[in-house]
Amino acid sequence: MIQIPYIIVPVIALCCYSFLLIMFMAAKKSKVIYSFMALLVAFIFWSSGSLFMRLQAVPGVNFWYEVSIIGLFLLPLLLYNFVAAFIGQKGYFLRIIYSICTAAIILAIHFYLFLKHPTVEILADGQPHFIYDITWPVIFPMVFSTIVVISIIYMVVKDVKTNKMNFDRFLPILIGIIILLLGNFMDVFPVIGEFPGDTLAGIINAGFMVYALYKRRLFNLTLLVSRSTSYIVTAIFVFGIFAYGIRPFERLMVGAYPWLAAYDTLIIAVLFAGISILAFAFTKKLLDKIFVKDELAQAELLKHFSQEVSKSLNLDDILTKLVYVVQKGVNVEKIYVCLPDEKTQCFQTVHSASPLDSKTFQLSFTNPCVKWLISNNTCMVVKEFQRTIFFKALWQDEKKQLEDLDIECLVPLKCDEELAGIVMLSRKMKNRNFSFDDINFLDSVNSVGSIAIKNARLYEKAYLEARYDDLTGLLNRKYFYETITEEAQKAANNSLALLIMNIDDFKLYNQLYGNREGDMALRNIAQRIMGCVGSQGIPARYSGKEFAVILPNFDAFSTINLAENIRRQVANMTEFDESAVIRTLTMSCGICIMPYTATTVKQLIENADMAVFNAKRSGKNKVEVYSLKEPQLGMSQDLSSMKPDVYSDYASTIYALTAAIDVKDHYTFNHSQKVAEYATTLAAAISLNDEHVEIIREAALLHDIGKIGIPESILNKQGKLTDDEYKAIKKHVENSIAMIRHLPSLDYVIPAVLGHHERWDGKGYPRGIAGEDIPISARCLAIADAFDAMTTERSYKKALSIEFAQSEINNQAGRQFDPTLASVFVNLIENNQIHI
Amino acid sequence: MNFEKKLQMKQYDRLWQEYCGFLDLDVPGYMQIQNRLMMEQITLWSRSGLGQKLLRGAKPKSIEDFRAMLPLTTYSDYADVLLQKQASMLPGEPLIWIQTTWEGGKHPFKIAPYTKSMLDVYKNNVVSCFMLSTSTGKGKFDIKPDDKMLYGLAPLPYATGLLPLLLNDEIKLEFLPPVAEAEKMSFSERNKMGFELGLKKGIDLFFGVSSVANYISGSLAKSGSGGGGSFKKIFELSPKMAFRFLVAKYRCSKEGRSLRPSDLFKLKGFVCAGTDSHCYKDSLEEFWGVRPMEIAAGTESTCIGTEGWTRNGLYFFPDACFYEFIPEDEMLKNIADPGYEPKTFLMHELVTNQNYELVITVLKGGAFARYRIGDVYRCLGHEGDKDSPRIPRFAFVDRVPSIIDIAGFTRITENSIADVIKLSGLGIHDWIACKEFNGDNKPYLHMYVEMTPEALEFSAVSKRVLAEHLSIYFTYFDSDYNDLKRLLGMDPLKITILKTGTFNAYRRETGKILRHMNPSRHELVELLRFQNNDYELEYDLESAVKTN
Repeated sequence: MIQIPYIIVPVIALCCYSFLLIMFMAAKKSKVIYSFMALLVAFIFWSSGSLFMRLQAVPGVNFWYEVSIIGLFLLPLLLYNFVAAFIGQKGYFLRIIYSICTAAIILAIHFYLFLKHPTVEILADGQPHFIYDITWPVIFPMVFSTIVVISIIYMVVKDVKTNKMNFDRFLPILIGIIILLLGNFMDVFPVIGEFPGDTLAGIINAGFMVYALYKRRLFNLTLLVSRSTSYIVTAIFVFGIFAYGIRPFERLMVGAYPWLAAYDTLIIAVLFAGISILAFAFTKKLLDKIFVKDELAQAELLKHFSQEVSKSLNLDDILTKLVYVVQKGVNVEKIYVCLPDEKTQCFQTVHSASPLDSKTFQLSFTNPCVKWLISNNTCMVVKEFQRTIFFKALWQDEKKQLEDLDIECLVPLKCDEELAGIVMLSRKMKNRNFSFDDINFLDSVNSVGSIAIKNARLYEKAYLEARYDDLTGLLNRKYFYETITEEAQKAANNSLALLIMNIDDFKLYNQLYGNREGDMALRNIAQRIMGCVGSQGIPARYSGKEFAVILPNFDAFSTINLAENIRRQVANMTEFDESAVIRTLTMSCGICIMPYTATTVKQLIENADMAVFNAKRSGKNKVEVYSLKEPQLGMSQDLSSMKPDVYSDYASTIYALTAAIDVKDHYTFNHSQKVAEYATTLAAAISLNDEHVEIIREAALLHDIGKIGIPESILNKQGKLTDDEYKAIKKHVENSIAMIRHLPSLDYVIPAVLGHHERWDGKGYPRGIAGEDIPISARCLAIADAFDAMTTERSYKKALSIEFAQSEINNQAGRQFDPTLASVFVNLIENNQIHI
Repeated sequence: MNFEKKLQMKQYDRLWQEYCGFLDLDVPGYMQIQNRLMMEQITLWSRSGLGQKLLRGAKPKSIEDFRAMLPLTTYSDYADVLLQKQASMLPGEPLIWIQTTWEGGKHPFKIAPYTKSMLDVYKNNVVSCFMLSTSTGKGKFDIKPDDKMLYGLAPLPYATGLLPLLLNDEIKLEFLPPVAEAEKMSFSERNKMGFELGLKKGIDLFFGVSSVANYISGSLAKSGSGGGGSFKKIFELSPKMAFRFLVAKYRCSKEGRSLRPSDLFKLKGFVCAGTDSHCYKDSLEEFWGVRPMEIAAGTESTCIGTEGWTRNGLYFFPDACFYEFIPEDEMLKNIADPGYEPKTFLMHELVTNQNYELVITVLKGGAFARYRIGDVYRCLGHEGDKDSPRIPRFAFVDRVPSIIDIAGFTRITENSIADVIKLSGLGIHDWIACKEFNGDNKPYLHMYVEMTPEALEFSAVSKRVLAEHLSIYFTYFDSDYNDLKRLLGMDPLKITILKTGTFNAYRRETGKILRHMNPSRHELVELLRFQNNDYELEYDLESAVKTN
């Protein structure tokens, strides 16, 4: 075998160039990268030609000599191209000229115009010696190369002088070129001997160029290391081992263990495979450790983050994960996440790395930082932003805020061109600058995080809109029912209080001051309720002018205290307002507590409502607790005597109305009186409180008031009613409501009047509601109404017997009537507590 | 990081973007910056004592509100607060108070507070000016640390005295003469020492008020063209300068002309400022071989505008002041009827080739809001080709007609002329004063006076006597007036005696009352035409008594 001194240097050079070329093949291409790859190809030609020529490899010295010399003379042109691309030089004139000249030189080389093929002479020590026959025309390519090098220098100097190019950035390339020239120059000195200085210089030069490209962020170093790179490196390594190791190993093995000679091929093949696998694993691990360790860690973080946030629609959860991934991936001291708030027109800090961080920071939608983030699709490094025209429009306070929080980088969370949020990062640990890789990582976090945040916010918005009242921000009616049902289930062994607050004379307030003022008052009241209740209860907007507070574990005493507190606060709401005298709002509050005075949610709500009515009727601006009392026997006989004074205000109205119906239809007048009597007896028997009983009495007196509007011919018709006539009769319920609703002081009777023709099985009218959805007062009325209808003589029918009526009520229990009430009523008949 | 450090990083593109990037803005982008900074200023100013006083308690919430609520202001509106330096009344804490003369004011000078933010913006904008002064194209500039700067400007407390201090923060330039020494010197000493140092060390940059720069340039040329003495100076010069001097001398003698500064110095940048700059630009270019770049600056307004690399008009910085413009017809209407509140327009509403009086609101915590600085600019347009700026371009026309500013050196108002006439005791019945330019395009004050018949009868009245009398009293009122003759190389005052009765005849025949300061050219021609008419002398005894 031919022994060539320092053969390892050109081998390393060739490996380096090949390795770089393969790496750059995997990189994102640009003009500069292409020109650098072309330069690498020339280096490969030069070094491989030189190496294989020295090794006198196939197809022969002449071929490899030509490859080498072509690579060498391509260098000036490709170097010029690379430098021109690196500094962004436009214009092709010189490049075309140089290309033509280079082509001519290569042609001339082929025809041996400059150098003839070297002749090989074997020296005494067995080493080959190459003798070159240099002719004088070689001066032409040398002069050409010199001109090209001068024009490169001129191009650089001119660029640096006209301030276009930062000289520092070009410095590595310049150093590389100088080293390359020095290396070639070294060969002239015999003292260096056979050492291939030019080849070594070539390796160093390539290293400097890679560094220059990296400094300009023209490629991402970690991107260059891929699986294929590992394969190639392994292949070179394994090839090297086997090229030089197989024969000695075989000799050693067969020498030591002759009996293995028969299997040597198999053993070597297995060994080859094993070493290949190990070499690949080792190379991959090594390259990963050197180049992609950080990137892998970041990729792992990103993957994990992506999986986690895709599972969640909880905004807080996503923000926590976002902050974690950024902190781990970029290693910054502080992180603040700002989300847009349409009300304040600002990006408001909503989350930070530490709960102790101030969250008062906000960026207005008009802030130039926001504008910059919208118009650029990447992170904003504050130091760089300060040098843009956008910075000029920043307010002094805004600059100070950024400075105070030590913000160094802003990451946009952009989704569909919409800025869904901003992540602000303070300085990195150890005062490091944000690197190219950091920015890439943050951009990836942005891509994943922005979608998650946008979705979570949409979900949150929809969630809030579905559950909360727009005006007051309290739970809406629908969600109030859901919540109270849930709370009732939770409070199986504890108490659950319901406080309902009704604003007194709110309609009048709206008429006096307008709906806008009214809305504002509602908002203010809601704020006060929230302030008083805090986390102890759940406030809701129960209806237009009513608020409700669900109070788990509250007893009557604490609920009354709370209600009084709210009531006082609302009454004093306008104490600092000059026009407060007329604008004062008061509230009537009703309280009911499970399990003391209600066993079901429905009862709880109804009773609390009832307490509100009582508060209203007993002078407004007060708190009433719904209470049960023992059933009072014989109350029907002397109903007027047990009637509380407070109702006397309405007695005249009720009298007027009943008198009107008496004139029109005496039967109906008598019927109403009787129904009132039966219904109140029933109500008292089921332990409804006095107020409730009185409401039922009044409802009973007024329940058929709508019949005033029905022609007497229909009312007193003998025989079966036609469909149209029946429709007219059915309409009396709506007629009654239409009349009563014009009497605000009597509106509390509406539920009973409206529901007295509803049936327990849902087949009644006008709403067709069923079971306990029908107010209890209406259920009482229904039985009393039917009983009187059966036992009274009409123009078209005779009176039925009490027994028949009793059995009919029993029969209809669970169909037309509430079975419990029907049973109680039948008992009352049996006990002679109901008299016809 | 200051400018010098950024310069060391050699990121020239980014430097250009940072300091001159405003020239790449389009009008909406420019207005966005203006509006945003104006909203900041409205917030600061409205809640300050000064703002509350002038707004009479009103609280503007938008720029439109602000313009509607606050009438245009002049220095008199601020005098009680500013002259007493009541810092607590101001929207921002002043770091320094800058002084200037108050033309026709109730006080000899006026002062303006500068906040830190204002100074930061000022500093940035001054650096932009110097970058642009050395630029020959977009993105090209040439400033280096230790460049030598010759400057012919007044020291602190005048606004120009801020320049070396601010620039020094950003880049170490060598001022000729050094700032600390210059502050102790008189105007002429400063100039003399500046030339001498310039001759020894070379000059890279030159900044001066145009008229002064012109005077300095002339002096430099004269000193360089001296006889045997100048050769002695060679031994004091650096070898490089000595060589240049000898070559220049040889070239001048061969071409038969006097030595010019351009023979000795290769200026990289030349910045000029001040009224009448347009009169001097050509001669300065001839002196130095470099077209001077004009900037717009003032005591109240700070540095507000600069020319670009094409030197064909001023561009206003978007972050120094919020600009409003009074159209010329509105301005004249207001001069005729001071009770009339003229309308103002914003940068994006201007019409090309129209003259406008500038109204500024100083941003960054400045004291002046909707303030009439008394400068008139012509909008030259805002059509930019691919490389040139798209924001409106302006030319400085002059001061407002009520002020006659000669060469940026002295400012004469109606009140000051009336005082001069009164003090002189001359029998002047009526007068008008106009700023005019001679054949060499040099400005001068032209007074058209009509003597009382008594004065003609009993006093020695000639143009010369009148001119000398008035000159003496002008000098008495304004010390700078004395330097004008020297700076301009001509008499700044020209007198024309009108035929007795001309003014009364004009009033009688036309029914118009001429304004004393800068009446329109047509009105002046009309007045002069009356001189040639025969009319009956109607002498107004009452006015004669008053003027005497």
